[in-house]
Amino acid sequence: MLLFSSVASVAQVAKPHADESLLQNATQAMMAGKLSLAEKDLQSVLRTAPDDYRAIDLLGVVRVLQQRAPEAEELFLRAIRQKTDFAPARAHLGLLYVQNGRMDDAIPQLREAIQMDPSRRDASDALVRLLQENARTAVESRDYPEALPWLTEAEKLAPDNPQVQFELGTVELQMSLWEDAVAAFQRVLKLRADDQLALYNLGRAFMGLSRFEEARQQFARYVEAHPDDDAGHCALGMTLAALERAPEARQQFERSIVLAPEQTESYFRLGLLDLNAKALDDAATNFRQALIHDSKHAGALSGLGRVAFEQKRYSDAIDLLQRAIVSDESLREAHYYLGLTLVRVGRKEEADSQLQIATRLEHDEAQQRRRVVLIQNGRGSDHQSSEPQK
Amino acid sequence: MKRTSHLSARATLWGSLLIFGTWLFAGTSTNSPTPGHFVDVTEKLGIHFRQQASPTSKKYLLEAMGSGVALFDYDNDGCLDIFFANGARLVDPTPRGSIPKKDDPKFWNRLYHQKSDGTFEDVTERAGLTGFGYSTGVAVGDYDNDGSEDLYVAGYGRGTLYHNNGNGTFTDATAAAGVAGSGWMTSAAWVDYDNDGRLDLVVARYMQWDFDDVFCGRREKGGYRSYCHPDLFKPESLLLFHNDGGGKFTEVAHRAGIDKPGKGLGLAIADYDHDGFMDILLANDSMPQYLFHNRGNGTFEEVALPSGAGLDGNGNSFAGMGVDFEDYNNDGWPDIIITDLANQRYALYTNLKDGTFDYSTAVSGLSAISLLHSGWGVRFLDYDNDGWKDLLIVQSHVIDTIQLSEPHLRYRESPLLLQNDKGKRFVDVSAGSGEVFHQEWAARGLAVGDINNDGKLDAVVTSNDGPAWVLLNETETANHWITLNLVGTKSNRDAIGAQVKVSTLAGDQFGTVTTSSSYQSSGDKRLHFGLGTSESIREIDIRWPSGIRQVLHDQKPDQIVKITEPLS
Repeated sequence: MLLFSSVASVAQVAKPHADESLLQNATQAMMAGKLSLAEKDLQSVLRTAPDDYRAIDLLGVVRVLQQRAPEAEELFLRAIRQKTDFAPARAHLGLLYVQNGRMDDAIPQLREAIQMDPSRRDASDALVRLLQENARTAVESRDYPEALPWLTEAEKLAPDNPQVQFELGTVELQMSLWEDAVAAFQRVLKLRADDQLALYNLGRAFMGLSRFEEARQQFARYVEAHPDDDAGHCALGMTLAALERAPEARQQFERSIVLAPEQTESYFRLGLLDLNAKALDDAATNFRQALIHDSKHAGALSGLGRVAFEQKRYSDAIDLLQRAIVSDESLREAHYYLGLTLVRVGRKEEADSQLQIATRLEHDEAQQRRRVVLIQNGRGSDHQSSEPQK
Repeated sequence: MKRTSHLSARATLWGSLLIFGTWLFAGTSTNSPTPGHFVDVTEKLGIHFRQQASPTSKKYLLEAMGSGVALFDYDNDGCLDIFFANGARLVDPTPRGSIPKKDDPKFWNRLYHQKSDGTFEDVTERAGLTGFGYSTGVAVGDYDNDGSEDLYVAGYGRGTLYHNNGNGTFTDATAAAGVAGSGWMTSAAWVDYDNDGRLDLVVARYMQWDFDDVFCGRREKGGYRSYCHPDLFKPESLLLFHNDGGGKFTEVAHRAGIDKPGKGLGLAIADYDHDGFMDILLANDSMPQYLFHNRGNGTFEEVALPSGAGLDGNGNSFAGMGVDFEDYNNDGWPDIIITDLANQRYALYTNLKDGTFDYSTAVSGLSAISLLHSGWGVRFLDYDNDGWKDLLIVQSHVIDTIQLSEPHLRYRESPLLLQNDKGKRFVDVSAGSGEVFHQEWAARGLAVGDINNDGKLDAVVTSNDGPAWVLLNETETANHWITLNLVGTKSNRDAIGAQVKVSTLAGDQFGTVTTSSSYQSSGDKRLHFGLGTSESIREIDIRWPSGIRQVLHDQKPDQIVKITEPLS
């Protein structure tokens, strides 16, 4: 990678000047793979002009090609000392660091090179790849706030790179930065119209914004292209349910179950539809189906607990809701209904405790939403206080 | 919490009465949804009010919240008059700590007197009601039991108590009464919470807020400034002014245990557990709702969460704004409706008669109807007199730039008229109920009452920084009705808190005398009941706040009946 991009970049920088012909000769020799000849010409220049930063930089490239990295690094640094705003030396040094796995050292050099010469594709491409790699590492450890700035920078450098846009959108989706995710996936689809995963994720982002009709449109397109995708049908069902189009939602969930009978999600969603309609027996059946496939499905346990609550089977409700909380202690709804159930059996203190947990979780979620708004408004994560900013 | 302990002997009495009632008011009228017919008669009646919000570039939240309206008979001529609260001038920017001023007549509150021909005249100056500061809510109640309705006008920074002199004029009695309050006051309610025969005053407060230059919105290129979310501000407790008599009040919120900080917008009262004491419901913005259960000893306990009326069915909070607290399913127990923002769905809580509520939004059809709507003023009202209380909701998003961030939503919205299908579900009949349901308004306040005394409930709507509308109910129906104008003697003279059961062969209906519900507004205190096809009223059973029970038999329908509380 470095070899070809460096040689090409040498050709870019070798413009007529003092000892022009020798520099040009060296460049041509390098591109032809005649490294000894190139070095001879460059040494000749440096004998008459020892501070010629272009010759020093080109000699550094020769050393890279000769796999003499320490000397190359020294030469690039020397060229930079001679002329601090000399973009090629910065770029070559950055590329050398990349080649040697010194990513943290590479990034500032490449950034400097691009700042000095925004047209340097070698530096830009390398930096974008580095930023993507850093972001992927962060994503692997689920550190999305760490990944976001890497990808935001990469997106600025490569606005037409659909993969960068996709990865940025995915991180924004994970961080509930819905509006930004919508914009990113829309850009992906402009660049890669047939990117079905981007279409699916665009639907998810619209869901996050509660723009259910737009979400439905994306998932409908997705399902049309992937009629046998159970996740697509389930997602479409969720948007239809959110749009209060329960019969159509039910059809989608049922189709999803036909395609993937072992799943839990569509059964769970069907249970919620039934619960809303107070069809408690049907709701229980669907929640139990989900639990057959995943006995610790927190949502299904909670749903079944709500059914028991509605049926005034308070002992069962308490058991089910407690099991739901064991599966997912952050499941606000389970705490809430456990609290309501405990009230009804006269266990006031325990009830208060559960209701407080539910409201705290709800408050935390509201704060999280607030943070999302702040981040999207460009106020940054350092302005997360609930106090007014004056 | 020992829920059953709240039920007094009198509750047991009511329970036994209910056993004999026909619980479902069925078969009284047509089965298919009947659209209403509401007509905008604002201009025709001579109403020219326009609420002045004073929008600024700073997007102060105060300018987004609107002002309320009251329907009341201030001169005892038997016809409802209209009072509009109004904003005040906000300079741009407004210095922190400022109290805005009504420095131009366009900012005055307005009193419109209904003349004998049914049209209105502006009598504001003559009545002495031009007002102070940025007015928000209004509550009507005869606090001194002199037979003339008084006014409390809530506002930002101070509220004003206007004593009705009984001669068409009012006197500012705020200082003497000690009810100026403080902070951002919104809705207010008159209620005799201790049943001592004198109306006390509850005032909701929104939050701790000042004219700070807080940027909300989007900053980047093409960005815009928007109103801030209430999450940014600290909650504030409501105020409870106990009426000590002699025109004096004492603020007792802390002593009464009702000072739990909230973000109160809407207020309504009802005795939800039939223990003989009025409870208070506070619609909070973006936090759990509050239901203050009256313990009957001068103190309250906030029980919304354990009662199931604090959050929605999934345990989410929502932006509670307008509220009503009436029995929509004719089972004798007050239910709750709270309006909120789009994607939150209006919250309907059905009273389960044991001190708890069921979140009935989805099963009642309200979920689908209200998904994309944002509601403010709301009232249960039987617009077609079929014996079931329907819903009138005035709507608008709070953020005037909402369409920029959420293109599927609208700032201005049409009102909603929902027909009550026998207490089971609500059906949207707006589209066929008149041109007004196709107009898009930035509506806020809503007051309901029978303006022309024709037995059909009418409405007045205010908008934010815009006009008001008077909507006459001209729904074609042969259904019968009765309106009860209760006058207390031992109880407070307005009879606020009196609970009434009207029984016909078709079944029973229930109502509570109140002027306070909806959003920052005050409605006709007279109780209206649609009677369907019933041509006779078997019984009217009144439980006065004093505890006195009065039963009337064989009242004729289609009339306004004045009922005075007996001595015992």
